[in-house]
Amino acid sequence: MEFLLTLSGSLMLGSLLVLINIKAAYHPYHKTTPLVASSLLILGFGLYLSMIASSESDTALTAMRQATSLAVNALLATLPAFFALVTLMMLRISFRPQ
Amino acid sequence: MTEWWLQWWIGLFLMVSGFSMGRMGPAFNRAKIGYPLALFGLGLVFFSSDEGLIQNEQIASETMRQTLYWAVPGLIGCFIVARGSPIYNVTRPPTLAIGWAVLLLSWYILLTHYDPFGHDLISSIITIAGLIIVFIVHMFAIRLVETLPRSDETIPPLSETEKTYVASVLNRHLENKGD
Repeated sequence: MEFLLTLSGSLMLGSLLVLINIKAAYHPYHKTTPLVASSLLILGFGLYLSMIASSESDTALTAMRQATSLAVNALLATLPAFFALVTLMMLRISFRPQ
Repeated sequence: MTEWWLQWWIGLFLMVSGFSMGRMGPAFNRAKIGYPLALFGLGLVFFSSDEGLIQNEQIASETMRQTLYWAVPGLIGCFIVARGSPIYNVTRPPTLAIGWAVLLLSWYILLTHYDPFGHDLISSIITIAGLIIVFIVHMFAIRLVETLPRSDETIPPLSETEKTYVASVLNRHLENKGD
């Protein structure tokens, strides 16, 4: 169930990021309808999965919060690995031959 | 149950919105409010109360606070190292040394105050897989948008302000070339 909750959380988190980006970076020549529709579809699917995975007493909002925050936490846990990669890149650019 | 949990979520959304706005549009005309908005969101998240947060939100909030302690000096260090690294045979050893000192401080904080191996690796892999699924669906949606027939509506001509702006850019560039 933890697996399903995390997966549903990452689906919802990803689609929310896309929706926020579409709204925040809007410009008049951007055809947003298919992107918004696909994101809402994934968001709905993620919400459905999270409601299956969470306890029966949870409301849809609580299930969504549980799953999405689980995904945020899992994503934050990957940051040290990314930071290690960035540090390696910094080493390369610091000591590259002239 | 209090509604303080909203502050944490609004902060997260403002961070994403601010970053999106900051990256939007051509380099000379990006939203000025973008990065300040992202910083405001970061502040809301960092100083949010744990009151009203459910279990997973409390864990994520605490992890985010711990991450910021090493990520902020890490980002600053990377920026200074990038500024000090040799470009076109120009080296800035003092800047590079300061950058590496800040970067090493960030690693010290990370390794002493944060447990990078204490998290569940499987959860991280599942989350990245989920985000890749969203990304693939997003790419398909973009391909669909690109195949849609273009509208026949006429694009309006440049406004007076836009004309003045384009003329000033062209003049500036031509003057710089000395022509």
